[in-house]
Amino acid sequence: MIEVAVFLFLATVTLASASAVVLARTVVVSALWLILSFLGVAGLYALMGASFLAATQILIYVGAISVLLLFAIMLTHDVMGEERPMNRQWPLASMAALGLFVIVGIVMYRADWPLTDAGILPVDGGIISDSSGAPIPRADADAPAFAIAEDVVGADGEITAAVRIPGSIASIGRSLMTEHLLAFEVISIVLLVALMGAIVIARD
Amino acid sequence: MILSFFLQSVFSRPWVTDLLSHIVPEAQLGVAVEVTMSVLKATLIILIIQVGMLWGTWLERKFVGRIQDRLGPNRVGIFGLAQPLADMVKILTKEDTTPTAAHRWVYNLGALLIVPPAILGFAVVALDQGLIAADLSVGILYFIAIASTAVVPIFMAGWGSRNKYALLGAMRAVAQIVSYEIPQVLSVVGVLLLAGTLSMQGLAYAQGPLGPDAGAAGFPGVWFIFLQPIAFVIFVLATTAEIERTPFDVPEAESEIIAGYHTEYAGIKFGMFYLALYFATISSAAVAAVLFLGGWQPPLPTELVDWLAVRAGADAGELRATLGSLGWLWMSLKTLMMVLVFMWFRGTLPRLRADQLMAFSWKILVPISLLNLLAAGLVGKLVYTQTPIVVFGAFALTNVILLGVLFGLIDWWNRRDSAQQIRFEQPASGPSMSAGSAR
Repeated sequence: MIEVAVFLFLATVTLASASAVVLARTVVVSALWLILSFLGVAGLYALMGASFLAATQILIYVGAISVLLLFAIMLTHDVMGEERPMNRQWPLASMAALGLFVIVGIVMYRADWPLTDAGILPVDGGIISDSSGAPIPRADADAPAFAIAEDVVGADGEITAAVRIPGSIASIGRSLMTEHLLAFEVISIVLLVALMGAIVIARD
Repeated sequence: MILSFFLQSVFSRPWVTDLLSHIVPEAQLGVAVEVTMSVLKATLIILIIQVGMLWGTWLERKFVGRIQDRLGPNRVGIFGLAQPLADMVKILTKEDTTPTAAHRWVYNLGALLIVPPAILGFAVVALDQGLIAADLSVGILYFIAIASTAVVPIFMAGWGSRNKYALLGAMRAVAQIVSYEIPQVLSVVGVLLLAGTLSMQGLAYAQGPLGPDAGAAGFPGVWFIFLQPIAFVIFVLATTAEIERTPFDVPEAESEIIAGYHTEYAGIKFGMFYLALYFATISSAAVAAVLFLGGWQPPLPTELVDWLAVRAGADAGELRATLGSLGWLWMSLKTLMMVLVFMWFRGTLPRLRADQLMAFSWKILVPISLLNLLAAGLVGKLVYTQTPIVVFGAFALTNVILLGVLFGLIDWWNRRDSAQQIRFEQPASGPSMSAGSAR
């Protein structure tokens, strides 16, 4: 009940501020609305129990990306002036946005959401129980609303039940270092290259 | 902070549950207790931070006065102790002015929103064993994330004022905060690697004899300042810059840009910026105490306590329990000490130049904190299961080597800069920071 109310509030904030980004008359004010929208998304993550994702969203988007945006605006525009950020290309831009919306909608509709699968373990008072009702110990201080059961094959071929708490630091770290290791390393290299490129440009 | 002691004993969960069970129906009791406890904890934090802020200003003026061979406030009340109250009356009754050209919404919201980031960070600070508003599993990350949002109201204040100096100050502040966030986070990560947790309570547990899994990380439960002294120094310097205290208060350098982003604010709106500065100082000092000084863990090692007990003829277990139960006192003392360190900086160090400020972060703090992180991970992994002596020795050696690298780095930059100065026959760096960061 409370969760639904909080969700509705956060969703309203996110969507309303996202619309305000488009409708605001001043570019800087648009950027400020965008920050509120980012905060709303962070709240949605927190509501889902993904505290790490929520904190990262605030740190990266509110603390860094939006600052870059503001800096870019300050360096390219008449900062103090008011200017309607509309130009002749708005029909094309709105078509592109609509197309993206349709694609995302189709993907969301077709996606096989793991949460609807069987194997979600109930969490009561922060204690996760397995199918027989016995509590499963966990290393994290998170108290998520649900957990996903995973079958893990032990060294001797025996299948032992393991619990993955979505969004917890430990499970994110584990999945980054196992199933997503290649993507993780590729992103690291891309970021390193970008960093070195920035340094090279800054040197001249 | 003595308040915390009373509140911990008075507003404990059983007592609240008992009281609420008379009012609230059985079905909603759990939720009601949770909500009440959260409200109580939030009230406690706001009380502590408000009282700390009011007399923090008094302490700062008195302390810096002593450093500079002055008396400090001594007119209102005994030792000038009522000075904060007089200041409050003055700031509340001042005329509230708004520039006619200002963007009213952004201008006013900037002054309002500057305070929440400074207060919210306190939610994860462990004041005592069990006395923490929210023991998030991402505790320290939450603190850093919340602190980083302070750039938004600063920018709003600077831009909304429609004043060139305010905008310049805001740009300086934003560039500075974004730059110093990097060494700050990197210095914390070394500690997190050793502790194996991001939770503020877990960090305190990892640094002393008390707690459910003391010593579980495989390291001797000592304060991380002993294993990561360079990280501590980086953290304190970067935090000083993050909260824009002297010598890093370039965004409000009055000799260059009047008062920076809060040039156009008067009365209580200016007071909000002042408030936020002290809130941020206190919460940063508390976080530094939890990260590096053991939080609420007693300041004496167990062996020393036992030895003292034997000397005094007292019961060692009882003495240990007494010291352990005084967590709120240790935490307050450590926080106060860190606050005094920040004030000591202010009393002794002159303000940096804007270009020196950026160069210090990017050319010295970032490389050395990256090296420190690498060393912490490597050495920590190698000596993970060794005896305390080996661990200490390894970390001491690492830190000495890192210090050597650090001084080499500073020396190299100095030589390079002076060589450039001779070549161009003018200062190597441009006059304004914004031009430097624009590229």
